Amino acid sequence: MTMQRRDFLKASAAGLAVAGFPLRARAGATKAKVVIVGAGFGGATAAKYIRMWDPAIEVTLIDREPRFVSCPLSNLVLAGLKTLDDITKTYDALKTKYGVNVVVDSVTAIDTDKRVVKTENGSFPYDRLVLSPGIDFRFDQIEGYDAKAQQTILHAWKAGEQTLKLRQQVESMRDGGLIVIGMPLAPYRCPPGPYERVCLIANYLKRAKPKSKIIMLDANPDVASKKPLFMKAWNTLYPDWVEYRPNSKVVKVDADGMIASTEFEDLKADVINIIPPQRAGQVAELAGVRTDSNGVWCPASFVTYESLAKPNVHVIGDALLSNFPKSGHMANNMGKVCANAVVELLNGRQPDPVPVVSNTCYSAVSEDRAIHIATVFRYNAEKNEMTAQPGGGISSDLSEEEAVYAEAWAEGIWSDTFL
Amino acid sequence: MIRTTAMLATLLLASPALSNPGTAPMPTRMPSGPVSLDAFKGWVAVPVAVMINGQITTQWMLVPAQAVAGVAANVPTAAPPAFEAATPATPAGNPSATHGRVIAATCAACHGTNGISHSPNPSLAGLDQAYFIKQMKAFKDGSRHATVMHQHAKAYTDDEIEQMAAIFAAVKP
Repeated sequence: MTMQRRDFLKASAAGLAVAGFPLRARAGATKAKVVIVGAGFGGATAAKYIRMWDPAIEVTLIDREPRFVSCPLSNLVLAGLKTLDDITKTYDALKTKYGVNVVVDSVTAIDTDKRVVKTENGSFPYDRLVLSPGIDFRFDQIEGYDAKAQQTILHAWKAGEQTLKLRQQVESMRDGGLIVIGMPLAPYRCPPGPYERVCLIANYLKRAKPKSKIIMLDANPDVASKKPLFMKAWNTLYPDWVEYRPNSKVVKVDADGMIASTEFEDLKADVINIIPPQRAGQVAELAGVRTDSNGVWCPASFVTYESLAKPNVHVIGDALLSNFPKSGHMANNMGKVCANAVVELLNGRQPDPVPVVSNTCYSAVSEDRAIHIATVFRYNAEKNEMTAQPGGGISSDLSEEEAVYAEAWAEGIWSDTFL
Repeated sequence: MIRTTAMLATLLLASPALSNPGTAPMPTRMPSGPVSLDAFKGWVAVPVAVMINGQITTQWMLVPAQAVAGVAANVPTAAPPAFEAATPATPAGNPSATHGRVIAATCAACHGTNGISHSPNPSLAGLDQAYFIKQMKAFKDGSRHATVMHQHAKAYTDDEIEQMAAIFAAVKP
């Protein structure tokens, strides 16, 4: 390659996106259409990067919510350390800067033969469909956790109104009260999230209601993420405020009596917060891609994220069946690999055959200390798996330095997804 | 923004690598009468994304066919050359052609899209290639202190680090 060509390429990079090479005739041709359902870290990132990498593709991004409320950092709202406004983002830049057609509506049907997504108010044909539907809760796995019980026993595992309500419950609780937090067997959204929540609510109790206490009922046999660091936080920062119980799956709730039951005991509490078992969001079911053996998650290619059940339908984010942690960072990274695959496939080229995705996940353990875990996954074609690469791991300790990085991480990923 | 397009056209014309005996000079104005296609021999129209008032629109631009072949093979990215001069050009259709932008995009979650940071994390855009490579290797071997970067750096090959370095170096910060 000559210097001159590199100079040309650099020149082309300065403010111009050269894309849509004439491998397919464009003049007069219909624009390729991509519809994306779910405008979280996965879907919004995919929309932005498809438009960035090939502005000739028309992208429609559908979500039932007009704004995005970030799950990352939402536990800080529970502790009174952030407001919901701090973690709420708009889709404005996706619309104005990237030309994404953002539609706020509920998807009612997906016809994968005719390639049409139907919403309450519209109909959207696609050449390729990207689903980033996140998770739905399996309330039926816990006895008594019916629609009425859900009014008082909150999950707060999708950030937004529930986050504020749980904050209010914690804030209005008497000093000396008991908070029970129940969490499901892995896999679930955000592996360290429930433990971070325990830390941050304990942080609030320690400051504002020091006679109060949290009991965590973990369905898992042990702390499922960042174990030594969370154990250290509980033992050193919150010894009088946190009691951790492994192998304690919540099997029943009584909302009237405020009782959470495991197979071994009934716990009467002032506030009960249950993070229920989860599965891929309902939209995945509408498309017929929630096809693992339990009908819970969506199997897909790790090269293109195309569903193994339905051609031209891609699945990214928490809904995917994989060994990935179900995190916003992973969804953001999958959004880009999927965007690249969609762009290449629509242009008659092959996508990157050995994609790499990375995860970085910070957890706050107090108002000024945080911890993280980082892992990079690389596709192994022989094994058809995403292999965790050597070198990944967790923080060496709880640190103030990482609390600063945790905030920077959030600003960074929000900008890469929405700005 | 039209000015930017014109500037690019000028750069194209001025670039000796892009002229070859089979390429006619770029037509400089629209002919008033019937157009002979020969006038455009060796040139192709490619769509380019142009940002006007914050909106991305697609404009057509005439470029030498030879240059497009090179771009399509090497840099199907909004940002910049994916490969260093020492790296042999990737033939058209090579599926690895987009690996560079995919791995560089993993950095963007923390360091901003195309390495342009909107957070306290440092920008990677415009970093000198040698500096980027040296820092990544220092993270890898532990000679530079890090809380998290060593865990990422170890996952990438030297070749991949060079690809990322070239990509970020070419982005105007």
